[in-house]
Amino acid sequence: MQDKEVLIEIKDLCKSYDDHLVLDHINTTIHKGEVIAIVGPSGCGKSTFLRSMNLLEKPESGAIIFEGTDLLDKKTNINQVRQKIGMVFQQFNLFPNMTVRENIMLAPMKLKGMGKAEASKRAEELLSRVGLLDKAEAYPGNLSGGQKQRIAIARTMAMNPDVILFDEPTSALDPEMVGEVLEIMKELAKEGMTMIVVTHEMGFAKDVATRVLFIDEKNIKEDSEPKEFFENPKNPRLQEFLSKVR
Amino acid sequence: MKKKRYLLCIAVMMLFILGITGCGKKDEVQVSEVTCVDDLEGKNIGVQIGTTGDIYASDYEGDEAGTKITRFNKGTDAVQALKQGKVDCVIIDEQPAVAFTNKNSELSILEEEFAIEEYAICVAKDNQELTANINEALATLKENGTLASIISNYIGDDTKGKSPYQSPEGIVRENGTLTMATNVAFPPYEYYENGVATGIDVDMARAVADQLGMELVVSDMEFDSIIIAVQSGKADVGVAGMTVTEDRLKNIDFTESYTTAKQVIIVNNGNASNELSLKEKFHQTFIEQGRWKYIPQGLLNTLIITICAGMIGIILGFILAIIRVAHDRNEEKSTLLKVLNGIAKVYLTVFRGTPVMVQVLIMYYVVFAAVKVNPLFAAILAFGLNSGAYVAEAVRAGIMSIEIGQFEAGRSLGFTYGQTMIYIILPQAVKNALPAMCNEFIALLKESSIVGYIGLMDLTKAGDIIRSNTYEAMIPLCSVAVVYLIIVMILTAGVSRLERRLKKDAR
Repeated sequence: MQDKEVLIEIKDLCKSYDDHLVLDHINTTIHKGEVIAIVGPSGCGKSTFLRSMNLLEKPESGAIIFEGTDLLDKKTNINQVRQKIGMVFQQFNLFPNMTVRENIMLAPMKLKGMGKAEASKRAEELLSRVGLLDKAEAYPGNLSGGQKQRIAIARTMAMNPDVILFDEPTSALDPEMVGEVLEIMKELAKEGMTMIVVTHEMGFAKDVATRVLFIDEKNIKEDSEPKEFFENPKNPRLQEFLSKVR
Repeated sequence: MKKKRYLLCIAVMMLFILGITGCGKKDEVQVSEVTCVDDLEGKNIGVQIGTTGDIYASDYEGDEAGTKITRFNKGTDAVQALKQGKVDCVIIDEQPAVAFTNKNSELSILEEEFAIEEYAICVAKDNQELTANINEALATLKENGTLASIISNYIGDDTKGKSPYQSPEGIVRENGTLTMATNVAFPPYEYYENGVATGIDVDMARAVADQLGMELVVSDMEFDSIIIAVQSGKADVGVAGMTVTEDRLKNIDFTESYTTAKQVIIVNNGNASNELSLKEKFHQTFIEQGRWKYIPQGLLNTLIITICAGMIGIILGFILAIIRVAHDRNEEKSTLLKVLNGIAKVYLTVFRGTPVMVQVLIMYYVVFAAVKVNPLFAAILAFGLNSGAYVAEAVRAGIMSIEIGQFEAGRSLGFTYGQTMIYIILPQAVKNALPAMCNEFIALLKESSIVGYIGLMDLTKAGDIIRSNTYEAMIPLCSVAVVYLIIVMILTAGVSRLERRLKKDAR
């Protein structure tokens, strides 16, 4: 893994809401092609950590260096950087007033100046990859949760990001729909997409992730490969956590 | 099917109005108990607001006998109230009183006159040159008999209509325009005939303008607005059968008097003339003298004001709403944003906290006090600014109703704040704000009915002009109401259609 290119480097990241500290000097490095699962008890700050990486949450101090540029540097154009950092939300956040096709075409057309025909073709490619080409003209309101999340992934993919952040992508889904979304994510991982996934799906962490982070009490408490993480946890809080979720 | 429903609506409305007016007719009007000046105490006296009749009658107000003064915007309104028994008598200038009683057999003038007074033209205090010029012109007109001839053309059964004033030929009008503020509901001094303001004052002012080599422009407004209009330079002179009083002299200068007049008391003698049939009333209201033409003219102004003000309101409303939301939702607030938000907040508070009527008056008589401005422009601006405040709140509520996740999705794709607003948030917010915005425009259309106060003829004023000509209230007022109703229904239908189209995408 060490020979791989560094994609994101996080140094002494601190974040607090008012006076309440949520993240306390977090340090970690993410390489290209890694699939990182972030787990931890609810309220531990794992979502805040993920959302800090594209500055949806603004950290107080530290550095987030993405492909050589520090996102917290005032000179950095965050909008440019965000085009390369995809994000998938728990609540999907598809645009309800647009068709599925339009949802996917919007960003490439407006931000990359892609022509309509090309963007439409690209949308169709992505839709067939997530198996929903027949829903191109549907509106999000008429889709199931699982379908919505697959479209949301396609929408993010349309910008050709270098990394995709997943914020509990399956938590809002009915159990029978979790599988279809994880399947798409598994395929993405296979193709070498760098992914950072906050999840409660231990199965996904075990089978798909290349590295698992355990966040608790404002910091990363365990950072290891899945086999080691699940079979030989060192942190006592992680041991307790795993005993509860298994 | 839809069209049928709307037609049915209008038909029901018409029947409803007819029903109400029918009920009103059944009450017998009481013969007035006022027979001389001494009887005035304790009675309900009708006057036109701001006239000398008002000033004299006000002496009785609050006396022990409980005299009540009811002030009307127009002499014709006071007369109509008298006809319906809403007041006991009306104190008004003699000549209009004669005109009123000639047209209404149940009204008569008491022999005992109330007061004698002199009419003069009012001019702004800082315009003494004009006062002097007019005095000179009046002297000439008195000397050569023109003034007497103009007056006799309107007063006196034998001489009426025999000596209409005609401008001398070959006048060079190189000295600009002479704008005359007046209240065209005061025959025979000023009234509408075939859609044109005419009367003693109008002819006299034209003769003066001819003497001065100027072009006369007549500006019709409420009587109590005339002095303000002259003071603020909206009009050069006020000519409206206006008597010189001490209070008026504090604010304005008067020329030499051009005629004397009496204040008299009109009472109801109970001899109601034969009521016109509905068909005759209709004929009188619309066909006679082509009076129907007032309605489309007024409607045009109403629509111009509503549409232009509406557009200003939408643009302004969106800007204000975006400033407010940007401020409330951003964690880091730049100084510029804070200042803009402060301005927006004050703006919203002021414009939503004061009546639009007052705003229109302020716009015309205060903001544009020093400049000559088309009242239509002032009205559009005032209503536009007012509307902006309400649209802003509707749009803001619309934006706030959009989940924050929509915003985050936009930003995470790489859209800037502005792009996210334009491409993602606003299209959804507008849909949510549409019902509230529609209500605002319906309110705007209806509220525009007050522009008569700054001398504009809108739909309401058009009905008023007809009413002041015919002394018949029902048909003009109900017609105007129906026209408003139809426009509102068209507007509502249009918006619900738009809403349906937008809803299609939003399930």
